[in-house]
Amino acid sequence: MTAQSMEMETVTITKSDLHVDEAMEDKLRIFWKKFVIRLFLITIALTIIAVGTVSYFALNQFQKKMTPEFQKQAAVVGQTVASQLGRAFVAGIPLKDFYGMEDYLDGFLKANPAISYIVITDIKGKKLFGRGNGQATAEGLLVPLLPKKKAPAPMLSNIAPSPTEAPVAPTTAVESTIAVGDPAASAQAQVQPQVQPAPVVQNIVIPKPGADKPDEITSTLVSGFYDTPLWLRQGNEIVARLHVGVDEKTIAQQNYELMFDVVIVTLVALLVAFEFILFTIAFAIMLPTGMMFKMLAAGRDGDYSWILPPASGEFGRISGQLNNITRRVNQKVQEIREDAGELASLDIQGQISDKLRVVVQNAQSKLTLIGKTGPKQIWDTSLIFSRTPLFLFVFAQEMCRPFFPNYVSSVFKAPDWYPSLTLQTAISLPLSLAMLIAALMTPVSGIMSDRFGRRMIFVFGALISATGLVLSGTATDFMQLISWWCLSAVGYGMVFIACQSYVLDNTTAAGRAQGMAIYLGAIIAGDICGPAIGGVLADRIGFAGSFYFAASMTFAAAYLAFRYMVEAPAHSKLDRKLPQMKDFVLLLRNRKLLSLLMFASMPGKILLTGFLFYLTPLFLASLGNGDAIIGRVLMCFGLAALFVTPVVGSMFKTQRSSILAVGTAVMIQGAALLFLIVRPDTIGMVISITIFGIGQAIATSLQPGLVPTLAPAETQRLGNAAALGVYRLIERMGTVIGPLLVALLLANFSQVNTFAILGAVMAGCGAMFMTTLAVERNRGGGSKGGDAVRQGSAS
Amino acid sequence: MTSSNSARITIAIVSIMAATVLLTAYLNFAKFETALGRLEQNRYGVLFFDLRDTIERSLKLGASLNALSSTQDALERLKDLEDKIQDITVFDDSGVIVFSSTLVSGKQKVPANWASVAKATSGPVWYVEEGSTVVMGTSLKNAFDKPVGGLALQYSKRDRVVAANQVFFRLGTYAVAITLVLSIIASIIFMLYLRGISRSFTRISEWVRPLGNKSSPDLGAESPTNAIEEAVLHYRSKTGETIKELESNAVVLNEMEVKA
Repeated sequence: MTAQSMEMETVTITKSDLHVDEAMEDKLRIFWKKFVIRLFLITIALTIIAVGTVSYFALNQFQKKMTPEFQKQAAVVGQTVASQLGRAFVAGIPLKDFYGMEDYLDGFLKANPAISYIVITDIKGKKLFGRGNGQATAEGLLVPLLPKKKAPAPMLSNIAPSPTEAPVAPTTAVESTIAVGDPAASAQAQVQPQVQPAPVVQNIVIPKPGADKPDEITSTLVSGFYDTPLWLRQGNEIVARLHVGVDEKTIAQQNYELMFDVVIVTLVALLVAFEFILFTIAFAIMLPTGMMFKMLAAGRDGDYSWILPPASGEFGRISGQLNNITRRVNQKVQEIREDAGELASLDIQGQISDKLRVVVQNAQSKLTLIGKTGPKQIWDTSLIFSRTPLFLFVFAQEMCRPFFPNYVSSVFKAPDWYPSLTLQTAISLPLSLAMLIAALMTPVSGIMSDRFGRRMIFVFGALISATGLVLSGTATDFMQLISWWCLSAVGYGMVFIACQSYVLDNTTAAGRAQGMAIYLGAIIAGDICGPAIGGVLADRIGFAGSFYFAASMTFAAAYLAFRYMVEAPAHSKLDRKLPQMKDFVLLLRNRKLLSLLMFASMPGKILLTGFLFYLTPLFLASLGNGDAIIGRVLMCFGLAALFVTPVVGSMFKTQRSSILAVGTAVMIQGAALLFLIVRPDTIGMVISITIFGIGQAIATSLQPGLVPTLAPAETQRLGNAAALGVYRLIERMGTVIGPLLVALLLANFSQVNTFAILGAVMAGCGAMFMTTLAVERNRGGGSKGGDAVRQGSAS
Repeated sequence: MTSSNSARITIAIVSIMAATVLLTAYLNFAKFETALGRLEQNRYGVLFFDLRDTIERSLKLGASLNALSSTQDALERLKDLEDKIQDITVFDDSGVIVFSSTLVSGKQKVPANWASVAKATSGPVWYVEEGSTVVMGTSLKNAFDKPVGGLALQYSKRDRVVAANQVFFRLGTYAVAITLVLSIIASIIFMLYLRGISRSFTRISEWVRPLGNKSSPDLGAESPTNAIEEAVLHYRSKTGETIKELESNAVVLNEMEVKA
């Protein structure tokens, strides 16, 4: 019997098929798990070191380049002020008679937050005007710095940079102490400014060849301020000096912000690496060894009906050898059968029949052999093979998130059939429609994936989505954009349900929570990486290019799914059917479940799309942030979810604690929005989105688990999966309503007031949720509290 | 896992690590370039907004744009202040240049794309990049807050590009060097780490090969060094017994055949 002659039957082999030696299996599993985890940790540690080193170098380079940029700005501000003063000088007004100078300088400081102070002194160093923090520093420099040589040619007729040959203070021990911020020494310097030059720690001349240009202006770091001085001249006479100061802390602050960005970039890169390393280890090590171990377990159990699929390298060699053994055993038994058959025909007197029977029985009784249909091929897969394509898919979709509202703005023109359509509504429309389509596709795709297989639906959905993204990038008007974006949403719904079903197919009830964690992990990782990279890309290659890039990633996801998301030969069918109206009615008649939907699940989804997807990019853009920054701020949502989601399930195990947690989480989401009243700026948004992400992570992790416990009778009647399907469909209507509702609010209120309204309503929803459930509980309706929440039902 | 498997796994993982390092470098560079561009915009913004405010003050007194004769002088002075400024233009609401620091002759119009970009931008300032030139523009409004024209400042981004290129080159060099060092170190570490399991797989291959041969398996006494080897030896022992039993059954059958 050769391999060619075997007509292979591919069957999944599971533990239940074999009477395996459990102790041996455990030993093997622990050994292999340790081996893979160590390999993974080594890889991640090396990547962190390398990425950290690159980021450190990058930060170093940036800081070197950024400091002179601030000084250039100080010089430009100085020259602009000097230019204005110059006009007054031309009019013959003496400097000391200038009226409203403080207000004028205040205006400049307000318009240029990077500038700490502007001080004007006379030539003897006496302060005439000054505004801002750190003026004492400038006064510390008010030594008689009259030029030794002829003053350089004036700029704008009456301004000149302070000559670089102006006396520079010798660096003494005292000055060095001042430089590092010794308050006593600093005070000493401040009480002696007129008699002793101020401590000069560092002179930075912004280099540029040529004369009389602002780039030649010298900045001096004194007591924590970069001071940029300019001479003011009336005609040929030097009449005053202008000092513009930049606080060293401002530059440090900018560098901290840069460092924060570098840390985020590092984190994104590590997450991407994590996903691909996971895939590589799963594909190159875990899958072939897993199948080999199954084959060994079968052999130890006397089962020689299985063969391993072809592989390469040493795995391939050992697979081949194990397959040869299987064939040899089968061949031997076949030979014995044939010989026995021949002998039986010769055994005319029946002398050897009994012996023959014993021999053949011996050969066959203890063994499971290849059947008439041929050998069964050992099959195995890993959820990682659906996780990586899903990660890529979500990554691609989320890439568009930071710039999508801006993209809609760029192509928007009210259609002829609806000329009064506002931009706000126009931005919300594609978001809402896409959510509606994705929600409606969920039950349809579930049935389709039962019929055509998870892989096919994933691939098909990803291809549809990629096409939608490409076409979205080419859209020249609003209607085209809305159509193509919705096409992309069709694929979105298909891919998600295909992945979810794949997890269900390949996990047992006990391992389902872990399987869903793998699935959610891919979504969270994509949520984090997508906006961050998408924002950078949009800044660099534009909207259309970013759409094409996202489409190419979606194609890559489709390819990975096609190539690696291998399905069990006969994938399970989850007995799905389209939800009926009576199912909705049945569930919504349960007051507890209605409360969950109306006061927790739907408001959460409304805020997810209305606040996070729609309003946040708009608000951040209105603050002057580019797409890259918008992307990074949006990323905070995923980051919060990444850290909170894994711990939520184990923290709240009873129905009562889950209800309290969900109610509190809803209020947290409301508080996150209310916080923006206090701090309506970019940093406020970072804090708000992080808090919002924590609230969403807690609520969305626990809500599905509450469905069977709040509506046990209804769930039993409909079936767990069907009840959850209906619940999710209603919940997803919130994602549809969200952008439209926020657009409506924006038409009547400012962005900050919209935050306030949404936040207050959300916080109220949280309170209502807990109150209504407490009332229902006192009425004694529904199940008793304290029973364990069925986390597994989340699937 | 022989060298081929080890090498393949090592190459795959090291490639991902290298790509991650290069991605990090690129993303950091992109961030730096954006920050540098923002600072440059702020710097020119100081001059730009000061000029806009000056012009609008005059407009709010009721003067028409064409009548602001001192504007030409102001534009020229501002251009002299900073040699990266290529041109400053004041244009009316139909796009016709009214004043320009480069003293254009005749009634020239500003490029058409400025108007479309200005229209598409929601904020008060719009930007257009044309080759190495950045155009910063805004509308000029009269006392009734009605746009009567626009102001555009064109500056060269060459210095910024040069600075960014320097950082790109330096960061790129670091990234490539780190990638190379990482690749070498990681390859050595992975090879060393996978060596043990590679040896195990070689031994396993040696142990199971005789079972598949035609000849009777000669199973020597082996001692396992890890759980995988133990599992394979267990399998080998069971399978060896099975094969031997089958062989002996075959011998019995042969004897019977001879007898028959």
